[in-house]
Amino acid sequence: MTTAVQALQDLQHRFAQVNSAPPAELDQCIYWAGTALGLAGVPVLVGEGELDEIIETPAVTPIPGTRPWVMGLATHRGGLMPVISGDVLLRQVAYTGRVRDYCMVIRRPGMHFAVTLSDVKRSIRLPLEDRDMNAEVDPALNGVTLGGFVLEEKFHPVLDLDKLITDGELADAAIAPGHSSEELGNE
Amino acid sequence: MSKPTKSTTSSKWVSVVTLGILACLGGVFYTFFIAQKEAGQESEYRVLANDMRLVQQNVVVKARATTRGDASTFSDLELAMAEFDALLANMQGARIDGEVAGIQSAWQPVKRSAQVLVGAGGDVSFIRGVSQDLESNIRPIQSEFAAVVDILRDENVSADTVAAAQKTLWLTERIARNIDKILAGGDESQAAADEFRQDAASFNRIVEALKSGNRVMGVQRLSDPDALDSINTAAQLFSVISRSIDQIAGSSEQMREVASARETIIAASPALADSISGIVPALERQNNARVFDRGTLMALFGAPALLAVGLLVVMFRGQRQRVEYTESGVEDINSALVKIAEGDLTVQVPEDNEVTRDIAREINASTRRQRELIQNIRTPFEVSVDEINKIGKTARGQVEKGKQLTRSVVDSTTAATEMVRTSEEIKYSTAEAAKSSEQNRSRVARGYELTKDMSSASAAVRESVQETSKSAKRQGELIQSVTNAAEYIQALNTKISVVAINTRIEAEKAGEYGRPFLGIAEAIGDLLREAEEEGRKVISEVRMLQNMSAENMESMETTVGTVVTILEYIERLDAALEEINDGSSAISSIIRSVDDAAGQSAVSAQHMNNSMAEIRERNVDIAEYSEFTQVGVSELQASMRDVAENLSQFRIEEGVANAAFDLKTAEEVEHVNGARTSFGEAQMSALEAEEDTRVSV
Repeated sequence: MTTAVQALQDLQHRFAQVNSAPPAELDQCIYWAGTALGLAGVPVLVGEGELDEIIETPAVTPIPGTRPWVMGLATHRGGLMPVISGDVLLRQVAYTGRVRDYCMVIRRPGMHFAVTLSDVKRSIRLPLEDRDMNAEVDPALNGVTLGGFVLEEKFHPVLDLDKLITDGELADAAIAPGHSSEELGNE
Repeated sequence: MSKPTKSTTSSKWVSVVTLGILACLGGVFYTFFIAQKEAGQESEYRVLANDMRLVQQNVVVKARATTRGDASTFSDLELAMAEFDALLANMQGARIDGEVAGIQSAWQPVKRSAQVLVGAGGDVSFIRGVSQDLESNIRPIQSEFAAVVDILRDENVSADTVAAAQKTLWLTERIARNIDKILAGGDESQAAADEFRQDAASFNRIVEALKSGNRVMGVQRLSDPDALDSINTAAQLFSVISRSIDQIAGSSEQMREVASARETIIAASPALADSISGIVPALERQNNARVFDRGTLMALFGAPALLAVGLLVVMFRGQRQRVEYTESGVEDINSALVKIAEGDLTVQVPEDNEVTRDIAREINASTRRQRELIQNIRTPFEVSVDEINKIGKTARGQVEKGKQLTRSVVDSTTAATEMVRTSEEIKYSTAEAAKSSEQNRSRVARGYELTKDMSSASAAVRESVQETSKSAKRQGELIQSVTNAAEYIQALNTKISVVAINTRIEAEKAGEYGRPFLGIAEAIGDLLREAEEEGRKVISEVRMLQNMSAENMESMETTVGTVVTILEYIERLDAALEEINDGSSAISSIIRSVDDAAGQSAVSAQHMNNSMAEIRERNVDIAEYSEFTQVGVSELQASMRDVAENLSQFRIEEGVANAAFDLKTAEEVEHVNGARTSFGEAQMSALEAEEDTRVSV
């Protein structure tokens, strides 16, 4: 009897020595990570890994025969990179407002360009379950967003850069035959 | 007296009858003129018919002549067609539509055929020219080939070669004959055209074979230079045909149409000539029908008869109106005589009636002479009445003047008394005004001192506010500097934010190795968020401070402006007080002058009062004399009124009962009689007592 009890006590003692504390409860929430920016006056979110970097808007050299939203060519890290006006691209009208100080650099296979930003906020992580896929977005971004989040009581659509590149006007920067670059102003 | 009237009436009727006869003659002449004119038109249409006949014959002649192929013939034919159309159009007005329609129907086939001829003129001329050229060239061509045959016989050539050369001799003959057949356009023309095409081709083929040789035909190539020259010459002469084989052969059908058109014109020509010949008889029939129609006979005989009946009716009506006209004139004279008998000399008998015009003139002259007689009596009487009226008016004027003079004297006396009293009152008032003026001057001096004190106090306030304003401006500059610094910090925050974002992106690119930098970037981002919020608050509050400073600045500037305005008002007040002081001194001197004048005025008024008493006594004497004058005038006026009543029984002016006497004048004299002519002593005193109650001047 004593031996059995003693044996159980020894077993309990050895278990207590080997046993470690139970693992803490993991955060099961899935987060969406990205950057909060402003594009053509509209607050937008760009997903993690889609941006190459954010730079100050460089000096550009205009390129004749291109669409009005092509501001020109700029040097960047020893190479050439086209700079695109986000305001003209999305609004389709000439932009004459405040100078856009920053650009986001986008790099895709075969494409490397910068788009001017109207605002630069911060990196951000948001619960994925808060994503709203049905909210209305600004007409300028119609068709190039993938839902969005409400941030500081304001809806921030998530920009679908792949769609913007493939489906939008970015696919062809050359001016259409019979049109003049003077129609939408010279950026 | 009635002779001129009768002669006028008869001359009038003679004129009417003459006009009627002239109208009848005019109608007859017009009818003859129209008939003559229509006869002239008929002769013109006859000439047109003759011209049409000649043109129709010319068309036939030209159609026949087209076989010669002259270009002028076709143009003449076209002109003749146009001329015939023009003549036919002119004939449309002749009112013989049946005959013209007949000509039109007979002309149409001729015209269509002629148009076919004109249309084919160019081809006919061309073929005819080719035919003539070929005819002239046939002999030279044949002689050239005859020479070739002679040469070939001397040389050792095949029989086919010689036969081919000889064949050309009769080929040319047949070609010329067939061209003539094509031109004639008969039944054989198509066969001739086919044969012509074959012959021309054979001719050219033989020439080519002789020049180059043809084994199929069995023709050997010629080598003799003379023979070759002859063949070349012949080919050259035949080139007129060679160039136009297809054109000649292809025109056979057109030539048949031309021939058919020509025959049509010749066949239709007699019918057209018959239609044209029918125009002259139709014109004669039309002329006879027009001369003997009912309208012409009516114009020649019926119209004068109707005119004569109308004249008789007009004469009867004129006679009856004349009798009624005479009766009206006699009635006017009778009514005028009745009024004259009643004493009305203003009546006028109407003189517009031709029958009674002389009687009316005599009566009007008689009444005018009677009015003149009465007028002669009235004129000196009116002069007397006018003079009496003038005397009465003069007397009345004297009385009125006396009355006015008496009132004026009373008024003057009262005024002089009032002047004395007023002068005393003025002297008392001027003494009081002098005292008040002195008091005002001392008060103005005191106010002047007060304005000086206010001015110095306002200047001190202005300087103080200006100092405060400078300090506030400096504050505004400092606030602006702080605002710029805060905005710069915000811009730096944005740049740091960009660095943090780029750091995160690079850390993600580095994978596992970049994980520490990822945490650093997130920490920087959190700090930046807090810094941005604080920075926004600072900027907001600094901007509020800036706005408040600007409002304070504006308020101080308004205060400075108000102080400046107060200073301006004080300066104006100072100037006004100076002017008041000067004005008070001037008023004091004026018051003294008025006091002296019032004393002198009282003395003068006393003298005036004494003079007025003497004037009143003289006026009483004048009033007594005026009374005597008015009594005499009244008696004379009564006599005149009696005479006027006697003469008033005659009426000599229209609308006036008795215009010779002015009764109102007598009434006015009576009125003068009734007026007061003088003022006694008691009445004058009463007037003076009444005038005392008036307000003084």
